[in-house]
Amino acid sequence: MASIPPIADKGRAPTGALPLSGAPVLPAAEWRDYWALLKPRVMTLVVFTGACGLFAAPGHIHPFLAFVAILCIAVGAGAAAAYNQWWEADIDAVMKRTAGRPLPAGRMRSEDALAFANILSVASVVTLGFATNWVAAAWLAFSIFFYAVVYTVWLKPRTPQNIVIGGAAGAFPPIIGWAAVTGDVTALPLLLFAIIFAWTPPHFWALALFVRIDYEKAGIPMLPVTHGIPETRRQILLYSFVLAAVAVAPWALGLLGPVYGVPATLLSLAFVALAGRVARSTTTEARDMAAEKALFKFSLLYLAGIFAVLVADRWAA
Amino acid sequence: MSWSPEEEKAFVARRKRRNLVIGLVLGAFAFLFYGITVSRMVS
Repeated sequence: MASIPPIADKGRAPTGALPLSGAPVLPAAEWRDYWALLKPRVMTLVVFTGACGLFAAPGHIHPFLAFVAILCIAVGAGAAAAYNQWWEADIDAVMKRTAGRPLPAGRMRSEDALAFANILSVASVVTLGFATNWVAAAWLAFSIFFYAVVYTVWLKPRTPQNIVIGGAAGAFPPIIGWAAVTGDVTALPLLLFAIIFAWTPPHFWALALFVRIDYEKAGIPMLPVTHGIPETRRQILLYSFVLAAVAVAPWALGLLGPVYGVPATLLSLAFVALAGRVARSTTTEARDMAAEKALFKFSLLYLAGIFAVLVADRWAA
Repeated sequence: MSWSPEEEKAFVARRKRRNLVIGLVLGAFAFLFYGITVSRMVS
């Protein structure tokens, strides 16, 4: 297993653009490197769920302020991702999937990444507060703190439950979007939070199963590494049942109508069926994990579908 | 650290592009706050 610096040294290495993966030293990072620090692909999902929370909320918001709110959610998520990459530069350097990122590749200085994350955090929270209200801004600040500190620093390197509790970090955008319109948080946005919270473990464990070797090399205690492949498959199936129950709950509780309820039920049944395929699979070779790869891909479609029908239901009503 | 002329040229070009983007972002930020002010006054 690759050696990883102790927790106390984290975030201080690399400094001065020392290349961790043998790249040449070029201390002037490109703007593209700063953009990569924001994890723009992850940001897409955050923007989408945040926008859905905003559009589903009762009340009116000026279109420009709605745009600013979504922009602030995106920038806040980018700031959290920048903190994450700043802290995990040494771990990223030993994982094939992440070794090309700006910090481990030596294209950016550690202190520049931290300053960038600080500026984006403050700018996104303050701007959201001025544009909408300070309840939404407080939720955004808490979500950045939760992802950067509770998940990245505290849970991820210590417990195989990292994804379960850390999943909450990605579940805040609908709450922030809702609060930007209403100034408070009611049962429906909390259920939307619960849907993303229950969706995250099976989504990431499906991925972790076929990139298990990478996590093992980096010393990250993901469930397939600590508890083995069969237990991870069992947990995926269990969480898919929880997810299905939570996803149907807004319809069952009368908070949303059949425009949401029927497709949400069908999508959830498909999710459980795919998780069942994963649970029945016995392969241990990543290249043969077709069921896991199918579940991972479908899980992205599932979340997008659930939130799309949520907005459709609210508008239909 | 001493650079070859090619490395120095590449460095200057990267810095110029980065500064241009920073300028654009700051301009957009100013416009954003102007827009927020106007939108809040109207709504």
